[in-house]
Amino acid sequence: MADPTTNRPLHPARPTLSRFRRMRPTTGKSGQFGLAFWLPLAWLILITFCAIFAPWIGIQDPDSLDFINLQAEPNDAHLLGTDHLGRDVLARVVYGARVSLVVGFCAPVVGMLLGLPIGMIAGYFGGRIDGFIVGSIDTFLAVPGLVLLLLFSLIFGGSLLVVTVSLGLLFIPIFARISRAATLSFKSSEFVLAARTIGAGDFNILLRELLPNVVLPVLAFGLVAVASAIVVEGALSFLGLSVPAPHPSWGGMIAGGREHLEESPHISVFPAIVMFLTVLSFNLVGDTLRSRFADVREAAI
Amino acid sequence: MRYVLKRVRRLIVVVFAVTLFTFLLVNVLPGDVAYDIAGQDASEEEVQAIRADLGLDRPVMIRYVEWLGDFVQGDWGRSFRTDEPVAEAIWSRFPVSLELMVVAQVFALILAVPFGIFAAYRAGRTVDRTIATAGFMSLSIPSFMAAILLILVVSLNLGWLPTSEYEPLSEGLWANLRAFILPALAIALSEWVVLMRVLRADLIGVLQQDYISLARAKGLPVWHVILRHALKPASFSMITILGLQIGTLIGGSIIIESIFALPGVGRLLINAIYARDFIVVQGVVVFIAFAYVLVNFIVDLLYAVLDPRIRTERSDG
Repeated sequence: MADPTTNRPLHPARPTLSRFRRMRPTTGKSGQFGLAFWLPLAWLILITFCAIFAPWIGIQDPDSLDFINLQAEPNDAHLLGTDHLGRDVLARVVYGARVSLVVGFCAPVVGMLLGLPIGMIAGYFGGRIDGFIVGSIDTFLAVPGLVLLLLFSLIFGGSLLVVTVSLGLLFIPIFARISRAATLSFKSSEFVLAARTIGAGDFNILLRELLPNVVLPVLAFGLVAVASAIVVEGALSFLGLSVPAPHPSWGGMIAGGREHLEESPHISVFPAIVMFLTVLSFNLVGDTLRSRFADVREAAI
Repeated sequence: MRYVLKRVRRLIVVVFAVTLFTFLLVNVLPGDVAYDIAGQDASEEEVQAIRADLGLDRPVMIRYVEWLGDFVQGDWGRSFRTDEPVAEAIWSRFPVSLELMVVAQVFALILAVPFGIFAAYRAGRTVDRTIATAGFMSLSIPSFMAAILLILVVSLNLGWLPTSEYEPLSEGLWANLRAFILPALAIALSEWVVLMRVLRADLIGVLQQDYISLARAKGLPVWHVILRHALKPASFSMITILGLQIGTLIGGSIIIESIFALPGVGRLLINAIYARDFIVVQGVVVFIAFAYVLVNFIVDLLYAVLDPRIRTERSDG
């Protein structure tokens, strides 16, 4: 089946999903990014800045215990209050951002570095190689992501590295699928044919002709992947299976405040708000960029 | 028929690969359960004795084949900790997970259908954009966060649904159901968005068909046309997604079950992980994977039955 207008093959692996993506309206006016882009971007820059420069922006030590102010409401000394051990919630939210952002950025990069070549090879060579790769991806996807992560954390223990790498592995299928679809839609185009005619080898075509075209939709998906990486890391640290306990993380803080929801909801609610805003911002910025740069190509996934 | 055979073959391959992968992951890698059981001061001999006792000292492939043979016959092993048979443990908890999923999907539909209709009817207008934004926000709330906020607002502040213990169905329908309301809502809050988007997209397409214009031209009221003529053909994709989501939810309700103390499969898995009870973890993972693949398989088949084009097109994929 081929699209008569562009003569590109369409690959409706999941017809429903592709239809829904194609119908999606582009956000905002076509010429410029709206407030729904700049506002979240500003928040992301703020939170990243705070996370990087956490020791120097005048917040307290996230691990210092203030025994006089246990579970204090937000006040002048502790802007967002203190938790059940008297630790400053604001400081812990800022230091927790470090964990979330490191995992959030690094995990998709791991997935991209591994998934992109796999997907391109599958899409380019087709045939048995493609069948094998697609089959492996299907198998991999048969185990729900969180279950796989729990399995990894059980075996390797919880640490920033383990969480980042295992979460990165989970992103391989989606990145492989996107790059496979993009490769498929470009491999029969004229410039590839031209390159082959002048004697370029497979490796050269993949690297110099296809990669620049495939990378864009993959990158455009990247920011949305960051949002879901942060959510999954939050879920893991909520369960206590991410970074070890005294280390601040958003999920861990939300879980820690669970016992004290009735008397001092602020312990859970503030990290929850910050996490929500961050995830929402990544989603909004990512979606704007995606609908701008990858709309046409993603329709083929 | 050839399509079905092809799918069945793939189903078997995938399940086989999942069992092998899980078994190897759980068994080859460090963190041997024998060390855990023996305790920290145990001598190497004691550890070896426990290993021999549990049959962990034999080559891994032999153990895998044995385990697979038993597994196929319904003997999934016994918990290292509680000595409970794994298969029984899973099946006794499965109805709770299933009920949670069904209630969650019902909630998701209750949210998705009206909003999807409104958004499609007013596509591109303020209502549509408001719903899209609400959907975006809803998607950005992880389910565990939604759960905590729901407990805080609904149970603690408003006092509507005091966090209640799980009661079996024999205690009465309401007593049983009320424990599921908040957890199901926490799940539904992120699931409904996808359903709503799919319904909206399809409904927009259907509403542009000629027969809809005809119905309108005949003078039928708008709501009659949408509900009686357009909704049914437009909800096809949504129902597919609904089915596929059930697959993901089997694994996705893990956290929710443990927050609300629902004795489901997810909680069994979490507790087994905390207790490092490898054989239970292994059983649950394979069970979840199998359920997931099976649901996908059934949805795919139904799809092929309902849409003949799929049979030929996708037989190579």
